[in-house]
Parts: sequence; structure tokens; C-alpha cells
Amino acid sequence: MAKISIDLLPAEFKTEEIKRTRFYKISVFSVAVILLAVFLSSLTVALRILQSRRLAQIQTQMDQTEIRLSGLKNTQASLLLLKNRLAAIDQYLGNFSKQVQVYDLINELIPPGVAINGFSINQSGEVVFTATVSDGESVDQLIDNFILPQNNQGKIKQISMDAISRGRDGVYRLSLKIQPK
Amino acid sequence: MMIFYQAHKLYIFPVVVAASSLILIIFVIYPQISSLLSNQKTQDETLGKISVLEAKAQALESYDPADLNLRVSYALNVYPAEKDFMTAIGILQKLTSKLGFEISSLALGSAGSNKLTNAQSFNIKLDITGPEAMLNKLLKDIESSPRLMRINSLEVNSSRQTGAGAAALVVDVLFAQAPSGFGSIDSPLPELSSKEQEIIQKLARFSSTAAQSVVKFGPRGKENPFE
Repeated sequence: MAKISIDLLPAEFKTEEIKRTRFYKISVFSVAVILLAVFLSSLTVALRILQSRRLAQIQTQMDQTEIRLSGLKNTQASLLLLKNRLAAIDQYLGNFSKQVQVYDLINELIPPGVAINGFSINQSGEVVFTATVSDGESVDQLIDNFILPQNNQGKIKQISMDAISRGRDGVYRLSLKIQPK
Repeated sequence: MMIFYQAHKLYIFPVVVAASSLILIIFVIYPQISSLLSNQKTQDETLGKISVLEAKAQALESYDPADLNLRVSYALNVYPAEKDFMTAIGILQKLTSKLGFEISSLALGSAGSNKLTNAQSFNIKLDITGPEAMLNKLLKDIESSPRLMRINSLEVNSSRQTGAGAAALVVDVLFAQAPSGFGSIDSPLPELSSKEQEIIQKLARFSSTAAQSVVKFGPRGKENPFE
């Protein structure tokens, strides 16, 4: 004969039991959540405290390094002054000014038959000179030397003849203005 | 109150727990994690900065102060911070007389800046007479001398018969004030390149040549002037 199961508990007890079970589960979950939150809070606060200590140590190390560097500021100043001077000296040492280069060039380009009477170079490197030349060929050679790039090394921008005359003695007297590049 | 709680504890308890957790997250966990992350970044940057500064300190300590001061003096002899009329005049006198030139007049000009180079300078106007053939060498010697000088302008009048010439030179003698700032602790350390080392050696040779050319005069005259 099959057993007959009769639930003699009143219906409200059953409801109450279900509620209690549900509340228990929710409570367990809630307690776990709050415990996790508290744990994470404690952990982050502890990590922050450790980090603050580490930062303080690093700051102390930084301060000591800065003090060490402050003691070396004279060396740094000397080094910077030396670099400053060397940069400028390098610009000038071994490099002649335009005036000297132009004078050098003119000396090379003047052919033998030409005698320079007066010569001037101004601040911009422009040259004005007067010369006496004994013959026409030397005049041509003089002008060719200044005009042709293969002769003047491409360093002359412009040449103008301010005056040219020939005396009864056959000597040419001329005045030239040269603008270098 | 208790009756109310008992009746609705299924909802009140989880709400209170959720609210508490939320408060902890918003006011504790999140700010702490943000601080942790930003401080970690700061820590890494600071550590990087410390290693750079330590390297800079080591590099600076490797320089011998006496040797460095000597090098600075070489550089300042060639390119000083102030006008040094007597040094420049002395050098010009020496260079001209070495090549057979005579200075007939000398005038000091005003300070200014060299138009082409923008460096500070004062000028010296020289009227010289001497062998015109040596004038080119004289100009190059002036610009290669152990004191930075540039030829500003030149006028020459020459005599065909004698080969002698008269020239009027304007020489710009360069100088520069020392820089006002010498760098902070954080500024990068300038290092001397090999080219700069070569220049320093050249300047050292200038100084030793100048020292050798100094003529020492002994006492002159009678030992006992009353005899």
C-alpha cells in the first residue's frame, strides 16, 4: 500500500519558511558583499600608506641628489661658460672674414702688368681700387680675371668700372668697384 | 519600528548593505585606487628624474675644477667678457712689428656690434706703413691671433717704386659678456664634444706661445747709484 504524505503544517508556516530561507540566502550574499567591500577598502588604504612611505623615501633621495648638485653648480657654470665661448670661437677661429678673403682673392686675380695705386675694402667687403696698367692686354686680362667664373672662383658678384683713361704715355688708369658674393 | 523591520527585512537589509557598499566604493575604494595610480605615475617619473640627476652629478664630479678653470681661462683669454684694450694693442703691435710694419697712428673706437657676425666688439684704427707684400700675411695673422679679431675695413696706398705701402686698418676686437643664466639643477648637462676638445688644445697652445714670448727684464742701472 503506498504511503500517503500529509502535510500537517499550516500554510502560513510554509510561507514563513520560504521567506526565512530567502532572507537567509540574501543575508549571506549581502554579508559577503559588505565583507568584500570592507576588505577592498582596507587593502587600498594599506597600499596607499605603503605607497606614501615609499614616496617619502624617494623624495628624500631626490632632496639629497639636489643638494649634491647644488654643490656642483660652480662646475656647471664653468662648463656652460666654456661651451658658450667655444661655440663662438669655433665660428671665427680658422675662418677669415670676407674682407681678408676678398683681399686675398684680389691679390691672386691682379695680373703682373697691373700696379695697384689705391685699394679699399669696406665693412660689407666691397672693393674699390685704382690701378695703372701699361698695356691693353693687361687690361683685358685684368677684366677677364674678375669677370670669368673659372678665374674668379665664382666669388665675385659684380664688377663695375668707374673710370678708365689712357694718358699720352700710353698708360691706362682705371678705377674698379667689385662686389663679392 | 521592529515590526516594520521584521515585516520588510527581506528588502531593508540588502538595501542597507548595498548602500553601505556603494558608500565604501565611492568614498574609499575609488579615490584610493585613483591616488594609487596617479602616485605610481609620479613615483616612476621621480625615480626617472633621480637617475638622470644622479648621472649628471657623477658627470660633474668627474671634472677636475682646477683643470676646468684653466680651460675657461684659455677661452676667456681669446674671447673675454670685457674690453681689453691693452691686450689687443699689444698683440697688434707685436704682429705688425714682426712683419716689418710700423704703426704711425692708433686710435680706439667705440664699442658696438660687428654687423656681419652680431658679436660685441670695439674697434682699433691703425695706420701702418711697411712692405705691401706682407700685408696679406699681416691681415691673416691678425685674424688668426690668440685674441679674436676681425678686419672691418682696409685702405691701402702703395708705392710702385719702393714696394712699400701705407694702410689704414680698422680691426674689430671681439668680446662678449658672460651669459646671465648658468642653468638650473634640472637643465641637461652640456658635454664637451671632440671638436671642442680640439679647440681647447689649440687655445692651450696659444696660451703657451704667449707665455714663451713674454720677455723678462732684469734690474737695470748701477748697483750703487751713489758711486
